[in-house]
Amino acid sequence: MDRLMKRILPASVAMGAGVLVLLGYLLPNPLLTTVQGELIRWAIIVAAFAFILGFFNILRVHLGRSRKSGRIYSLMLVLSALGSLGLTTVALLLPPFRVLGDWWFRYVLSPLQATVAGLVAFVLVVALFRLVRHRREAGVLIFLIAALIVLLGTLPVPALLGDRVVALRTWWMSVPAMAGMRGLLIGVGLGTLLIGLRVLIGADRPYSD
Amino acid sequence: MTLVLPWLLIVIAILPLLWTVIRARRGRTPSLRSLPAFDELPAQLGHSAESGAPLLFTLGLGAVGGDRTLTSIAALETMDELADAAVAYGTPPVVAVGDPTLLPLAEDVFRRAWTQRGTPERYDPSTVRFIGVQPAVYAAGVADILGHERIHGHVLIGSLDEEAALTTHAAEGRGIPQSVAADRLSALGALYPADAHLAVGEELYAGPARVAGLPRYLGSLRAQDVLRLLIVALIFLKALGVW
Repeated sequence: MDRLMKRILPASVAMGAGVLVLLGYLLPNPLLTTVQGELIRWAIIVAAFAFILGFFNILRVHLGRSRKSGRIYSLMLVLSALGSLGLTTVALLLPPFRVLGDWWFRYVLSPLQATVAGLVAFVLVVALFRLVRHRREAGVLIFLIAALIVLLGTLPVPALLGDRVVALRTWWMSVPAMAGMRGLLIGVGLGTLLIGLRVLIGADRPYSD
Repeated sequence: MTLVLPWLLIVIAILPLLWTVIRARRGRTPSLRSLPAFDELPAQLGHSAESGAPLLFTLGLGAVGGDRTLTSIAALETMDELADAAVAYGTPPVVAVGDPTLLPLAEDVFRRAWTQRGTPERYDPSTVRFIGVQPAVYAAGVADILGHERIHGHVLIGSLDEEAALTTHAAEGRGIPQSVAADRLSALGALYPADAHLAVGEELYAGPARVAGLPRYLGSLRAQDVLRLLIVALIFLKALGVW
């Protein structure tokens, strides 16, 4: 009974759902398409509930850290999470307060995210300096040349030099870079295909014992 | 023709997969090339146990139910193969997920590992942490863990974009050894300069095979090789105008 509940049943449901959705894509049959659409809709509903789990996970982890060093940040995070939840709920329930929810997202959350994202460029430059200092390889040289060509080709440099650099950048992006990207994408595609097949045939069961 | 090609691809993929699985079960395993990003993981786990500080597994922003699902499953499988050893050593890793749909699956990996050892009560719910779905927020959250908690090593396997650089930068700042594998092109460019063992693109999917060496994983790699050779041959034929 334990084996049925923990192994056979989850595997059967997962494989059945996977096969039905796949068939919905590959066979032009209205019944299969309907079943496929319904299963995807269920998945979306389940995913929405996962956000509630995620919210409680954040509270549990950070309330647990409130007795350790850095507790002030955890406390701030918990208060912000509860504040966001409260504001969003009020904005959804009482339309006149919708402006509050919008304000919170537009003037607090979005600028904070943009600030962190803005750090990426600086972090990459620091990483590049470290790379040049610590790794002396042919690959690093090619990486640097590529980065320089793309950067110079994007910058508004004087016309005479600029045209050549722009042409070189265009060639670089459309020939060697594109070839490399396609190679990587084909590899990633094959990898995902094989994992998908393993899940479909029940060889991989990330959801059961 | 549009609908025939996917079927053909599936059949071509399944045949070498099953063939290698059967051969591997009879003891004839294919040889694998070295992938330092994954080969180092069991040793890192041992060092983590000696130091008493856990590894941090960054599983990326992949959700279950999107175009990043299978990458997330590959990351989960790699972690799953290490979970038993981590639990046996008494230093289960900290896991950072970027989508709540991945949270129950990642929690289940460690709950099962503790249950199989006969001590389900030792499972700590804060082992797996949901950070946030926005890429910048997720990267900042992971960087915070790396910057302020006692972490022995950073293992980034999953779907991330250029924000991944924030996490590797934080780890480098504290001299934390890293193994990184990402499927996104934008992440690979950002991760290349990092001081880390890097697995590029499809190498991410070889993680479970390198760590566990189970027949199904080995078969999957062999099938990938066969399909790749086939695609290369088709590209050549097309370029030569034969096909």
